[in-house]
Amino acid sequence: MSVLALSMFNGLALGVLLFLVATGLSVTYGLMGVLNLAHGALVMMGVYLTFALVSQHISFGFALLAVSVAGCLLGMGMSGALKPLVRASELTQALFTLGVAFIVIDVIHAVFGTGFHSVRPPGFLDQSIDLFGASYPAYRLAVLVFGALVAAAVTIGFERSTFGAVLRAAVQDRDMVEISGINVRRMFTVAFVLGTGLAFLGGALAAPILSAGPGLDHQMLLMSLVIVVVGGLGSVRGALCGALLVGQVQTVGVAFADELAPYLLFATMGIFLVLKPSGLFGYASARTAH
Amino acid sequence: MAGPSFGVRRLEVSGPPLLVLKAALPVALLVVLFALPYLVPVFGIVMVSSALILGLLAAALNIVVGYCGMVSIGHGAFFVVGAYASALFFVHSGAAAVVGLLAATVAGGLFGACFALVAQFVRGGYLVMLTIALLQVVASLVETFEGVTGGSDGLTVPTPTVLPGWGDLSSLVARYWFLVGAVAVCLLLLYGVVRAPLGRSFQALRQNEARLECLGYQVLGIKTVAWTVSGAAAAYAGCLSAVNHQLVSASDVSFQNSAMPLLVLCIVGTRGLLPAFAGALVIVLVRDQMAPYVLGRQILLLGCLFVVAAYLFPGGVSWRSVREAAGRLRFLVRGRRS
Repeated sequence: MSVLALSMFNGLALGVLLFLVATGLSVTYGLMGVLNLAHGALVMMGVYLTFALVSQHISFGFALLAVSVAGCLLGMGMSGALKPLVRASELTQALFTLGVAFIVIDVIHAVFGTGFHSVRPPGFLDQSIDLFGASYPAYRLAVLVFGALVAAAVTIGFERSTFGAVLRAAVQDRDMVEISGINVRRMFTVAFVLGTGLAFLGGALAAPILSAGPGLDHQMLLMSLVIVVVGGLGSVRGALCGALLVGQVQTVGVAFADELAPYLLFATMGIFLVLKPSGLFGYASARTAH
Repeated sequence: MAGPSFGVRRLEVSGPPLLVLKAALPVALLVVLFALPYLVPVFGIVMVSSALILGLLAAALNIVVGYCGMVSIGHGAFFVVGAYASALFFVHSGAAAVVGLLAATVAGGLFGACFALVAQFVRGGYLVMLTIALLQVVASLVETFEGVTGGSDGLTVPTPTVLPGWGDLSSLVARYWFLVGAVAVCLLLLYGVVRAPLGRSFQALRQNEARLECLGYQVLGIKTVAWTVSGAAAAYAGCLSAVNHQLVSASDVSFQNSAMPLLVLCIVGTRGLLPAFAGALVIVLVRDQMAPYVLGRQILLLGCLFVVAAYLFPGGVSWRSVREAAGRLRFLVRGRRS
């Protein structure tokens, strides 16, 4: 397998992970207009929780489940804390979510230190397998398959279920949905809980690939923001396409233009903001967004 | 001022006594600041210097946030551009401080104008995202060109003279006096911009952009000018930081440093430029004096401060907001009233 094919395959795995991480941010931002700048810190918390559980010799599968549940609980708390700020100014919202990010990051650093910790994948996946004549880590392949299944479930749920339909309607026109007698604030809570749970799951799955260390929060937040811009506000389909694109940009970019890699991501973001501000599948445009 | 006023001009009660008071206050403040080295110990001077630099950065940010209503989290980027632009002049050509200030202002202004090319198209949360990206791009640039910027080791800045061949800045007190003078000059210029018709159109931009456009104003042009002015002033503050701390490093481009002026604005509100300095003094006191004793962790304390400020004082600290905050706290303690 050539270098290009290999890095594209890596990009696919990264893209699937990024979809899990970013989709909650996109939907909740589209729903209530509160940009959660603590999202990256929350994902980082998921990665560190996985490290903590796995290093206590708890099985990886159980760790995935526990971390996702912890994410849901945290999402419930966070959405409750954000509710009074829905009508506040952007300055206030940004300040609050940044504050939460700082608190989370500093607590993590206080508990785990500022070193890097690597997480070993579960035993039966801790090996390389033969893939089209090249050896490839089995864990990445498993992540790709598992992540793709979860992503498909989320996308189908969002596009086909009644709850998904109401969510999509609320992203497009919140007032109209509220007039129809639907409690949008409760939906916001549910979306936030599911979104944070997915982000934690993404972080837990990513833990053996990206090691737990400082700076992970910025990386995750930035990639999520680029995905929201590329995919369009509040669109799960858009988040999927955006995540796959960002995954390719990150891996193929690093493989072929190492020095340019950090700028390629923002170039993508800038191009979309200027040429297609509503993103691939977004309803609201960046020019009129909230 | 000719043309419509959009109702942004406040009704001002100004007779001769009030005018005298308004002029006397800044002058008195300036006199106190200049006399400070005779009144407080050295460490007080260091604190006030940090507060002045942070205050100027917050005032520059307020041009964009408070006047134009565009939230930026990445103003640290302009600050760092100014710091590096002037530091390179100081290091390689031994330039005077005034030359460094000019270089920083021009660099920051150009950088702001370039950023406005993209930023003028977006607003709201998208603009917040874009400014975060800006900060990250500058951080990456600093790392990529490690040979020029010194990377995370930073660049040690030699002490410049005020003018070529005149004005020794090697003592702490001399640097402090230069800082006070430079901040006063910059603030005067900023007030010139804000009080001019252009400044009024900044406010109109915040209040009703569509109406401003309907009246025939070039909204995109006004936004570009706002970013240019704000970027130039932030870069000016960056140059002052380089002169004062004699070090510029990659750690200056952090999220924490960039969020600090936002916190200042959240505490003092977004009206006017002078209150930012009071807020900056409070922040510096908390950051450098309280943090070692409370919790022992600076970032954690700042995070808590952010959260509390956002909850209790969404529009800045004033008598009204304090009363409201007290009411909200009472509500929390007592629970929901029927």
